[in-house]
Amino acid sequence: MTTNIALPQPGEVPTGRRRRAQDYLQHHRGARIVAQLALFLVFLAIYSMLIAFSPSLGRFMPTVPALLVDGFGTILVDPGLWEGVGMTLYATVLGLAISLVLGSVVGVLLSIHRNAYLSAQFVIDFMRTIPPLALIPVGLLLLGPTLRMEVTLIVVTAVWPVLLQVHFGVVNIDPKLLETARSFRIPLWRRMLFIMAPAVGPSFGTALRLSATLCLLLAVGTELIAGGSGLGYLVGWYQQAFRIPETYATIIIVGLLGVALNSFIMFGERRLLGWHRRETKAARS
Amino acid sequence: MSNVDTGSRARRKGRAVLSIERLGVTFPTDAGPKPVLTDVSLDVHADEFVCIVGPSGTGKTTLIRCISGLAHATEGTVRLDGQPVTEPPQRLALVSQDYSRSLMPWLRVDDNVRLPLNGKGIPRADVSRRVEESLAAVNLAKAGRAYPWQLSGGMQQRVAIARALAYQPEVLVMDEPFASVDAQTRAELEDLILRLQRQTAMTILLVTHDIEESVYLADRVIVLGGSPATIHHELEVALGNDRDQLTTKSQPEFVNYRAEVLTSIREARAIAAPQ
Amino acid sequence: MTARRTGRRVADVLIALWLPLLVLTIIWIYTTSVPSPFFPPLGRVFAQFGEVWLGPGLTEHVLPSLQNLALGVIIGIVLGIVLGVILALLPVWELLLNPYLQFFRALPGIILLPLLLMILGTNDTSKVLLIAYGAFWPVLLNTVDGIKAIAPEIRQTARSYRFTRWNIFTRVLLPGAFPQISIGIRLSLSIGLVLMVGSELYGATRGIGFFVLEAKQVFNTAGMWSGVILLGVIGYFLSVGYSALERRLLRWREVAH
Repeated sequence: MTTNIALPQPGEVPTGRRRRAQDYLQHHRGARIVAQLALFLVFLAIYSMLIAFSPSLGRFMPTVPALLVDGFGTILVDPGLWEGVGMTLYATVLGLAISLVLGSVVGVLLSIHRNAYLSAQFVIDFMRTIPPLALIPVGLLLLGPTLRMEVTLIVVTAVWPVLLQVHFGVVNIDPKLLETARSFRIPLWRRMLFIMAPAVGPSFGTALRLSATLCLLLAVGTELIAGGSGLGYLVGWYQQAFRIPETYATIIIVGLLGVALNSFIMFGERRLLGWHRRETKAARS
Repeated sequence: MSNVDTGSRARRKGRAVLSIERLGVTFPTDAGPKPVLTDVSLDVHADEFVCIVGPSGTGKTTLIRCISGLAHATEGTVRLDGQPVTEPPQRLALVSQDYSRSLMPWLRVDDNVRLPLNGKGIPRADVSRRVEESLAAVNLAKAGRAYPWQLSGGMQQRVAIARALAYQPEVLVMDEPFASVDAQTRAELEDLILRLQRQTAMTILLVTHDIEESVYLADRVIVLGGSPATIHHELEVALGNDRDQLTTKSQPEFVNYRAEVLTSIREARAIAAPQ
Repeated sequence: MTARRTGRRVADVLIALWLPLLVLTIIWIYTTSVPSPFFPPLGRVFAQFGEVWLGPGLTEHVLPSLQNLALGVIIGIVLGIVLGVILALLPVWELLLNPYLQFFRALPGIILLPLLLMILGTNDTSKVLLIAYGAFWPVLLNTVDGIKAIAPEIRQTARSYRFTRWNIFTRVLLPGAFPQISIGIRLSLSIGLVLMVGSELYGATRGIGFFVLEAKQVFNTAGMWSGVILLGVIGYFLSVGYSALERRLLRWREVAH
């Protein structure tokens, strides 16, 4: 039996009811936001019904009002939360910054000669596949549950994607661009600063996205497991104190922090790399 | 019968701006040294439009790269204004075939045109003026703030030409500049470069595989052929100052020149064929 | 000729090996000659592999860890692909759900561990669920991207040949989206491994991660390092192994665009 099925085709003139809806939502941001909010309320309703009808779940999940009042109500006025946010954010950003600089420098250096990268390849490949959290016990042993340990772990983990991406970007700069610049007698330092650097831009953007995710994961994970301070630690603390609404509320704050970080990076990328029309298959993590 | 104005361009040969003496290029390969070019000698004079024509793969691009200082020849010399060319010389600009890969995609059109002029000690006002004028000369006066990817292929190539113009070179070298655009655009660009040459009296050396284009544009056509490639034939094209796609190309002189070039290329190919 | 190429290949291997071997040698010499509470002699660390990891540690820690990883990753990947396909075919829902997907993608999975332990207890189920959660998102998002990216022309062609719904799915959509899906799978493997280790470092009673943490508490530094190295080796082989698998799969499923 053969049927003509209606697959969604971007750009096709919408005719069916479904496609009209899709096109409308795509182009009318106001309507889209309203629909998304409505969906959110539906989710809340389903959630509330779920925990109302299942006492066993209800023990471990706060009702919506409880989440809002006991959860957010408590933590948002607690300076401890904001210290935690500051801590996690600081560790993440610092670790990210160091990783970016270190990874870029080494990535560029290794691009000088094929043999340079080849020599380092095994070490790089091995180090980057070590599951990051595995080094927490080592970090605890060597540096104790300190901020320095947290940042060190972040850097040791997040530097590899930066290195790889920057190296990839440098090695794949279109030689024609550089040759054109050379033919116009543009001096070497200008070629490096004004042509090589922007050309590596898209790869650097990818590196930024990938390593930012890792940095946040490492920061929160280290805080949870090794303790001390930060949002990760707070979540663990609230959970062990069985303060359930606060636990959920803090987790949501962590998620929002991640969203904020991603949005910030995307915004920066769009402004600086808006020229990069052809999106290569960038991995979404 | 013949409206050809042979007077003004036929041979008041100015001084030799570009001198190529016995140029040879041999590449080392896994299978031994491979000569690509041999014994190429050519003088290009001021205000002259010289076209080098030959089948693809003959080594035309290698020749261009040696002339423009991007590559070193194994034998012979290239001189610009009497000075040997060892690196890209100052008074020479290159326009290559692949316009999309020669314009910086992160720069707008006017910044692209401005790029070679930055940091060379030219006052900013002059730079801006040059950029404006060269964009106007290629009919892209309004496209300055666009990005290259927003422009068509022909327009991008015009930006590359504008960039070369703004550089104010003495010699403009073009490597199959119109090969990657459609026929209609090609005709427009041919007329554009002719007009620019007449306006600026620039010396132009243009490499192409298109026989008609070579005859239409040139004061002199050089046929490159053989393997290793060398100058197989040379002919003067006396079609006058003002050329036009319709009238010039239907003149019997044009047809004759074209036949001469085509015959010469065929001969060159026959020589190279037994391999 | 061939002699030159073989020579070049041998040279490449040597270039690739000298640095790791040098590093290994330096570490060996340093740890054996300089006594340090943090860095036991490398020989003893390696001995742990014989004593523990190929011995009782195998059944007690390694196998359960790998089991959880495998189970979690498979569940995550399957669910990710299935839901990803569904979502790609329902663009209205994808648009509406997008902000929520972005939120969950930005949330570091590890932070859910305390919740899962509380709800499901400190057993393997919570670990598997955490790993599955982490593996799910990259696969979901990349599947959606991959299917959306399949040029409409190809789908048009399939429709004009009156392919059945199932045929379009198996012969056009999945193979075409596979390269992108594969990127997601690779990410899910690495995230899965991270979460596996994480789940064994917090509220756990067994597993390689647990072993490493415990070894550190009792100052069995050799054991600790050996566990870390084992995890690194597992991560390395997962990555290399998947690359090889990917290459073979992609070679068959060349979709000519």
